[in-house]
Amino acid sequence: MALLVLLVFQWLGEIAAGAADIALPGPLLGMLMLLVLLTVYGQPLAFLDRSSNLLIQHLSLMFIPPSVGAFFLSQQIYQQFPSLLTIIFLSTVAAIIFMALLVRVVAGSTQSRSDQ
Amino acid sequence: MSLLDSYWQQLSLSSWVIALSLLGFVVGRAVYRRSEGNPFLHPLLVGTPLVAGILYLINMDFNTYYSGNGALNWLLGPTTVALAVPLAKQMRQLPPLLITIATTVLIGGFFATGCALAMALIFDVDQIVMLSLAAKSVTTPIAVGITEQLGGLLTLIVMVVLVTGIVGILVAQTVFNYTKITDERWQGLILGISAHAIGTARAFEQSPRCGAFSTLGMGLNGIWTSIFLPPLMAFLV
Repeated sequence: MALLVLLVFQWLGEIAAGAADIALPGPLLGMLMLLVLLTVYGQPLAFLDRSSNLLIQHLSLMFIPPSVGAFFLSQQIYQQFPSLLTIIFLSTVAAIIFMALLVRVVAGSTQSRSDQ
Repeated sequence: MSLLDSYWQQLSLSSWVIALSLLGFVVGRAVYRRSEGNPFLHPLLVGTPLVAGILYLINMDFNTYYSGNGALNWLLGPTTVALAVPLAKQMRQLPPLLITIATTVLIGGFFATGCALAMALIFDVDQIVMLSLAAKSVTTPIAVGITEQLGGLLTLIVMVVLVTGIVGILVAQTVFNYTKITDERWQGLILGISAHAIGTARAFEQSPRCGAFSTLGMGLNGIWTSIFLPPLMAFLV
């Protein structure tokens, strides 16, 4: 039943993506629609909770097939792995530092405004 | 008759290659739990080499294995929709802190992706590699959808997302100490935006509140990135 609900929203999302010709994955649009609906409704639905949790807890299983593919890439791509890892490392560290400073500025200023 | 035969062959093949993925998952998860959540022993980091090793041993090519796992790929669609459920529970946190959350997600999320793309240009990697790392800060089900649309390699983005998450949780606490971010709501938000589900798992270990904000950061950044990334890539590539 819960899977049916999820599939209906995925299907709606795919229809919407096709009809509006927007570059968003159908399941993501379906997620947005369900999010809006649940937020407006305002209460958790027990049956949906259980199945969603079950699916989300098994996400790693669903990612095993594509990640196994990382061992079967071309030589051309393996040669770029050092660059790739450096990019991931540096950009992730930079992003965290950037956001930490950003939060300090934004949260700090809204904080002092509410203090007044 | 021969059609039925080949159909049956495909069916029986697919059930055993799915069993292979399941084996990787079960072993990976057991190791991860026993290690009490050591990020270097993430289920995918343990399970994936195991499955790849078995494929090498039995001399099966990757495409046969991958197409046999169609059912697991199919599940990714409804699971992406299911992400709305935990996210909806955190939406009530949004209104009172809207300015900080929106600014951090919009600017921070854009920075996280833009920074990686700028470095990809500096390091001059192939276009296909750039397309396959663009969605690095986004939770994997959404990243896979975006990468598919961009024309990147799904086999690469899953690993890129995983490594991003691991780097994120390894350095986040140090950055928080130096920048004096002590409020666990903001720690959670930043973890969710930069290190997606892996950051969120770490945030929940700290406290439910930290985890809630991480869920919010991860979900909102996933939505936001999937909106700005395709036009940005069209501009860059």
